Amino acid sequence: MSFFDGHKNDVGAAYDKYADMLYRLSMAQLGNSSDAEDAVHDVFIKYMKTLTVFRDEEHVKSWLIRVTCNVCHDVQRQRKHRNHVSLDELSQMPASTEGVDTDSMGLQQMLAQVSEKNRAAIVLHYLEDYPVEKVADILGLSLSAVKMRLMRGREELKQIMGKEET
Amino acid sequence: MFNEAQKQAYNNIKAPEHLRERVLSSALKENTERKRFSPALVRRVAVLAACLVCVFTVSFIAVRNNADVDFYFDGARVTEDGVGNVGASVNAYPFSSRSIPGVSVKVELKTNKACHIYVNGGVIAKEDGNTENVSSNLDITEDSALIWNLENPVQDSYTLTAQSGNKTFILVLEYKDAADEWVLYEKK
Repeated sequence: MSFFDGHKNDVGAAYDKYADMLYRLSMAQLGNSSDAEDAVHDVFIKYMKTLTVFRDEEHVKSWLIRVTCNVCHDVQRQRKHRNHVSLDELSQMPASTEGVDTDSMGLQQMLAQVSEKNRAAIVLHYLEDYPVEKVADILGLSLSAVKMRLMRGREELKQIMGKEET
Repeated sequence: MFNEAQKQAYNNIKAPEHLRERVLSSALKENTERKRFSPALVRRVAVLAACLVCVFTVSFIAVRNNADVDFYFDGARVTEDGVGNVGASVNAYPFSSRSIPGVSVKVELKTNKACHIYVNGGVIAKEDGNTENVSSNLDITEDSALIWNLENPVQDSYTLTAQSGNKTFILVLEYKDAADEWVLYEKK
């Protein structure tokens, strides 16, 4: 069912259609449900405020994913500045991962070890099944840069999986 | 890269129920704020404020430069219509008795700004001022009662000019033969 109006941004309809996907993306990149919720929240507020004139639903979707990646990147940067996680925060992390099963917890732990630079490309290509061209478009990178990030991300994952098996 | 179980687990991640409520209430709040302070509204208010500033500035400059100068004789403002028989009602007390055969006119000057007064005949002084330094011109800074004294006037008319800011007020004292009286009027 299409919600696309082209003039006004219906936050409720967009949320119903894309919130789960954006939340997954945020969880994969941030590994923390609280930060992921904040990121999704901020993305939809930005969507409501944006003056961008969307061509179609696909344009909306790409925009939302790109903004989600940017917001996650900002959160990660803020974390670096903060440079610490409190013990309380650490102890609450497993309890706050609502709707996340043990397999996805394992997946998230793996993704958390992939470098931030390569993580978004890995998630979009291997988990959201976007073709390399689309990933390049969403992340605003060249095709070769995305391919490079995917290759390095794969290498990182192989090393992580190797460690877990041993 | 990832096995089916991992992909399935990833796809099973759902946004928590309470997040929808949070997003929509924030969106509603933002929308209300945005309507209250919409750019269009802010622009309109700014334009209106700029117009008001211009109007006030122009008014201020106009008021500042257009001094209000008026002369009153016996409590009535002197206009173009004139006031008759003014020479008969004077009280020439600041001047000497030598001036009695002449004409003395007492007028009240009301001004909101300093002004320079000069006459083309006779002398002028403030009613309560120093009578020793009377001359044909005078500087006034506030409302004052003035005595204009003409000893043995030979002309039929004399003028008193008041200049303040960009305004010039000319008061004419003229002898009317037919009525055998001195009249006072404003010359436009």
